[in-house]
Amino acid sequence: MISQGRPEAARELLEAVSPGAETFDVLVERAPYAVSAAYGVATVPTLVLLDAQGRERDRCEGWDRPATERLLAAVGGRLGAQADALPEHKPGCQSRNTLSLQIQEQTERDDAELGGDGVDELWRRGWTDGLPVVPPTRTRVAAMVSERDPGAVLGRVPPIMATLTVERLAVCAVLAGCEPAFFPVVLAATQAVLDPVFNLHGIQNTTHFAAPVLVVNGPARTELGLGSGSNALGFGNRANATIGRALRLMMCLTGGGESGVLDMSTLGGPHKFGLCFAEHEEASPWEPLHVELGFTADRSTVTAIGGESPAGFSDHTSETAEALATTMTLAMEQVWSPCYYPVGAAQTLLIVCPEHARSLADARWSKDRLRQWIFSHARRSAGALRASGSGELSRETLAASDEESIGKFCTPEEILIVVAGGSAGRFSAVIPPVGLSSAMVTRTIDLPA
Amino acid sequence: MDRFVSPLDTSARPRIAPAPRPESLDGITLGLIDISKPKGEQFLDRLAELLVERHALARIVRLRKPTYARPAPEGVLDEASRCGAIVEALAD
Repeated sequence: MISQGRPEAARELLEAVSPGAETFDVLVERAPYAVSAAYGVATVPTLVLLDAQGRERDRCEGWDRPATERLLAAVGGRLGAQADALPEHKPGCQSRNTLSLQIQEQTERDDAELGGDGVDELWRRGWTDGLPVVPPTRTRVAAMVSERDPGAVLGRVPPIMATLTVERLAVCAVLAGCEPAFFPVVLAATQAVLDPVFNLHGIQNTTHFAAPVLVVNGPARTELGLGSGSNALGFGNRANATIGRALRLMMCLTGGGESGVLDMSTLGGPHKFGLCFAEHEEASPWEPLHVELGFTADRSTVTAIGGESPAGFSDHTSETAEALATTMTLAMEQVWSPCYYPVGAAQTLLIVCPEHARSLADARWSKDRLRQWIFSHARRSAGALRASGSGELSRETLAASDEESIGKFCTPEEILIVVAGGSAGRFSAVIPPVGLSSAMVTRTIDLPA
Repeated sequence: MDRFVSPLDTSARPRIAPAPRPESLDGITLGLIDISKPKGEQFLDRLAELLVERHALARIVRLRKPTYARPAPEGVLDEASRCGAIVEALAD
């Protein structure tokens, strides 16, 4: 038997296939797996039947019980007592001799450090958001930290006011599945949410849906392969998925925001696994968010906004900019609670899909014109709000005369607009805000030169 | 040595024992903290009425956090620390 992994794994398999296992010789092979390569093995396990001259007579790839029995019978053997544990048919795994030398060596280092994959143990420790995590071995964490000082303190994380070091954040990034190249975004996003203006304390503890929503702008989007097109808001892109997840793991592990213990969200939401996306700057007729905020276009930034899961809406049939803007306005009026005016949040994010953005730009609507339209049309008279029957009314609404008009937004600047999404489809989305005295924070991303 | 690097700050969860509970509210300065949630004031007004009826309190001190969304500022904590007992109202 030729084993590419741990000798004990080879022994377990031998015990399963043959009661006479102790009579087999086991060769534990190391990179570059020359014997496996010489036999042309592409899948593990592979059984090869050789005759006395060493010529191949039969072969079975992956798990295939009838074929295994056939090969064993040819040499007078049979399946052992533990064979019931073997799958009847299963494809098997990629053989290590088919991987690049670099990956072969990394895999062997992981074997040496883990002695197993460690995933179950990490679940038991609670170092998870509910999904499997990547084991934070010293090798992986060191690669994430890179040239940085691992002990450098990034701040204190509420609610338990834990000290967050570069190394602890790097562990969260490893657990989340980040590539080391993504770590500058995780660092910048962390600095953003730790700014007191963001009020992470409130976001961590609240019964609301609140979570950080991250928007990435500038060259880092393309350099790191962040998703801004189809499924920008999830799923399918490693950078988007793991950067957002690293922040969540930092909040719940280092920060102590454990679900149902100190994170008391009534319902939570899928965005709480992490919501990070890039603005589709190439598909936008308008200036991107970071330029609007005063950064030069060649800088990369991440903007953290407290929000809920995206609330999408369709507009496939409006034929004028005004009609489309009306749909957008009505969608934005639903946030927090449908009859609660003003919403009282620092920012509410409107994510405009490329087709909607193009329709507005073709009608010569700037981003600011859209913002002004929504600001001036997202309003109701206090009388109409009271007549709605809803009891969730603001103090302003309760105190106003029937005719007095109350805006959903107090200033146009509360309406934040970015462009994201695939090239087809007329679906845009609102990120309902959190309130909670939380305001967005933007930080530059320091990519290595 | 642990084979994994930890994301935790194990020193960050100090076990703080709750303050001893008063045997009686008689003669106690009672702090009522409104955390600024809707209707918190109404709730504390009624609570104050009932407590004054039932106990010989020295006095009631009304405190208010500027917003429920953030931890109490130092000033509120200072005043609260001078009270013999505290009721913090969440309301909503």
